[in-house]
Amino acid sequence: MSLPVPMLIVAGVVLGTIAFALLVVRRLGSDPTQFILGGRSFGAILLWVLMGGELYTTFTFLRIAGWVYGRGAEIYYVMAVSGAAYIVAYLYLPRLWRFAKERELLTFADFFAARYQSKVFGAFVALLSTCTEALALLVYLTGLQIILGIAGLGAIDSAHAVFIAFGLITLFVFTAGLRGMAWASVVKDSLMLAAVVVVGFVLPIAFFGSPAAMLDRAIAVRPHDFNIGAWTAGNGKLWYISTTILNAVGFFVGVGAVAATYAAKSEQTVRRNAALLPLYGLMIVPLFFAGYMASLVLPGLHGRQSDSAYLRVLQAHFPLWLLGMVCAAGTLAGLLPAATRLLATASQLMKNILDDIFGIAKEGAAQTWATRGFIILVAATALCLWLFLRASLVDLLLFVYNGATQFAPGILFGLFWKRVTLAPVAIGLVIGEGVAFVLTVHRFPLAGFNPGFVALALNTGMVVLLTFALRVRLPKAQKSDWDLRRA
Amino acid sequence: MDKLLRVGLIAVPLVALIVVPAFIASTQPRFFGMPPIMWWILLWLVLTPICLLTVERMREE
Repeated sequence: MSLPVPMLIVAGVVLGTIAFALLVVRRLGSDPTQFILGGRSFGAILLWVLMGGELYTTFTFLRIAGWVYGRGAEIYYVMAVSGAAYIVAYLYLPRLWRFAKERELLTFADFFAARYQSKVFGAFVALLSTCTEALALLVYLTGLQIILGIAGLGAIDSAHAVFIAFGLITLFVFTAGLRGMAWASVVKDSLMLAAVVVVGFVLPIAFFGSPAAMLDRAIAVRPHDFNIGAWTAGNGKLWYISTTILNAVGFFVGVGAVAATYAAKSEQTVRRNAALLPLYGLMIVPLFFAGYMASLVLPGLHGRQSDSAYLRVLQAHFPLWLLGMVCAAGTLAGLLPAATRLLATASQLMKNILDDIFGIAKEGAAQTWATRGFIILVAATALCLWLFLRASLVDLLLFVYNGATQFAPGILFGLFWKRVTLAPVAIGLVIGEGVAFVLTVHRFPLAGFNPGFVALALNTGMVVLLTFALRVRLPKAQKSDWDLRRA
Repeated sequence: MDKLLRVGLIAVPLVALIVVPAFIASTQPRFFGMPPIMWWILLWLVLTPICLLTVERMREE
């Protein structure tokens, strides 16, 4: 069986990227800090692509244009978050990096274990965040299926293609660790930049003469989609503001983003990157153009079909090699952030469960190999869940982001408020996760607020209330430790 | 005074990105064909790094 041209290009680009990264990384050694955090030596460029990689995933590549295709102006929150999230990051990531460096932290859950002085809490956070990250992997796999389905031109079973692509990238992260991911992300981001220029500028120019003329037409055809509804309407002003706050606060509290921060070589690198990364958000604008263009050229698509609308336009009106290049960028945008999360999740299962709780894999090569084992285990579990249960997981997938952001109070209060202790944060986290789950799955009306925001507000309120209620007096030793950390 | 300026340089882009767009979502006035909400956020994606780098410079001094 011969592969269609776009799929051949996707396969070539994915394999070429993996080969390039493996060549650059060469021998990695068996040091877990090298494997998990790239030896804490990432400079501006590698940190830029790792931190920016959180912004450019299959969600960005497909969903933004899909939402623009069928929804109103409330989806502009995505653009606003790409600036606001880095302002929030600028405020706390340098301090997080310093805290991690001083204590040689390896994982996301290590922060909770170290700050709240409880390995059991660290293990609990590791398990909980593994669940939300596993669900996030399913989102990536679903996006990949859409892209590979288009690249296969209907001649190939897209589920099989996802299986092969995800298997390949799992073996890649197994071999090359975070440094390999970072170098592969350099290729991914270069391709993404080219792809968004094609879909955001070339397509509107081809059909309407210019992006401005295309926007004129879009505004004339669907003027109501450029307004945001009343305060308490379904997707109204309160929804826009609460969703933007939720996403800006929660953007960097995931396991992958925290691992990327730990990997920086200096606090200065973290600061400078966070300050400059809003410029990366400019790359989202062409995807808005692509969504409006597709809604005018190919109207009438619904649900999941609208996510791939502009790829369908590309497929119908442009050469197949161009479709192949754009799909290749989208495929890397799905695979690499997924692999980074896979590595971060596996490392905390190794460190915070196997090592901290069971005393297995205490150091060196044993830790690296245990992490590799967990990479295979988590990837296989995610693939099985996706293959057999994806149809019944829709509600759970909605929970991914709302659940992941509930770790934010634990990190932010942990860094900025010395009085906060284990009990308030643990209780707030459990309440936040529970409320986020119930509100997301049952879809209660909340006067326009985003359910994740309501859960985060309750979580935060609970931490503040309990901290004041318990009136914990810090022991002298802990006070001086805190002062040292702030210095 | 310096501290106040630094707080302002961080708070203003946050408000500009999080709150203001909810009130300017309409079809006019347009800039290069873009509706207000689009060009406003675009403008602040460019201005935010300038604000943050200014804060960074002030912090270093």
